[in-house]
Amino acid sequence: MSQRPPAAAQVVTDQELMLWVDGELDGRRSAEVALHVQGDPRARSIVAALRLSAGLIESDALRHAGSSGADRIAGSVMDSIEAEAALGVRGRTKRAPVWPRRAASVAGVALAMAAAWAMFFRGSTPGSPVAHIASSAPSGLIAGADVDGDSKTASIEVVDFGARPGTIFYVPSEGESAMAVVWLTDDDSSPTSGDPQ
Amino acid sequence: MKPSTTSMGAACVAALVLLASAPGVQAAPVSVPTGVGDQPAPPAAPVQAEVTVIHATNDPDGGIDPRIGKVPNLGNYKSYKLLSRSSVAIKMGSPTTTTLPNQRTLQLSLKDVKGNQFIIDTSINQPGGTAFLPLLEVRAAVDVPVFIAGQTYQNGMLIIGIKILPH
Repeated sequence: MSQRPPAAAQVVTDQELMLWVDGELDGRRSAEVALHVQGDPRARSIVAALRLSAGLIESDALRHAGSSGADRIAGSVMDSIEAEAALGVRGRTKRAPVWPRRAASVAGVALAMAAAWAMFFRGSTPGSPVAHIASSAPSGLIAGADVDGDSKTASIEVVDFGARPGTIFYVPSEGESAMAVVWLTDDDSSPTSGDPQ
Repeated sequence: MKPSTTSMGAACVAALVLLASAPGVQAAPVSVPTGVGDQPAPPAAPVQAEVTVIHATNDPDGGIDPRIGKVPNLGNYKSYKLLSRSSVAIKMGSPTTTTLPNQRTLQLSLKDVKGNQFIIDTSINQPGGTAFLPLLEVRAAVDVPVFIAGQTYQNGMLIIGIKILPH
């Protein structure tokens, strides 16, 4: 077992910031990182951007998971379970306990696939309009993608964020259009500011 | 440990680092004159644009200002208040300046017009003269908005909407 260096001497890496935002650091290190974030504008900016991105991706993944048929798959499996249970009365009851676990696995895999699909292929649609809520059909644009020829969506041609972390994404709007959003962190502008622990 | 959230976070960090480390992300080639004999095109006439400034907060009693119209949901704020909406003329060569509520200045200039699409150069400068957002070049058609978000303002965030208006 190696000795851990003194806390003050440990540099807080970007990966640790990420783990801290996810609540995956142990209590002591979490407190150290929290202290570091309080005093370092760069760390605050990264934390703010991470929280925003995670929130947008999570909400988008859940939205797409709900509309991608994962619930139908789970429902179908549950129907099979019930049918199996009905047959099991005539002598196959031993299999009945296995099916709920399979159903959970199938549903879990389906949900994970939907989330992955949403994250990697639909990652450009991380939110939904607040007012005049648009249809749920996204435009399939990718952050920073060239959308030449699409007169319904503004295209970000060039961006220079300077020294600040920033990102570009597109939010689905009415019809096949999307709204371009440029997000630039300004210290801790996260909507969920505060210690996530 | 929660690998899924870590992976998601890793993807976010990677994207942010990629974007933040690039001093200028070029998404499309710069246009070249296509006129007869390579004559430069005459300067385009000024275009009118609408600059909307929205204040997003978590004020539980704020609600959504019905005058705002369409705005993306950025971070699940509870209140969206319209602070200002102004019409500005965007010209080639000389930037048009708008002072934001946080005393930063938004600069807009018309870089080019390609058919029904307008290339707008945008920047946000701080009071001391340093750039908050050095450059944002947007290609947009009439009535197609682009939003700039993330600036802290009075317990919330500013959302700036820019939209070219019809002639």
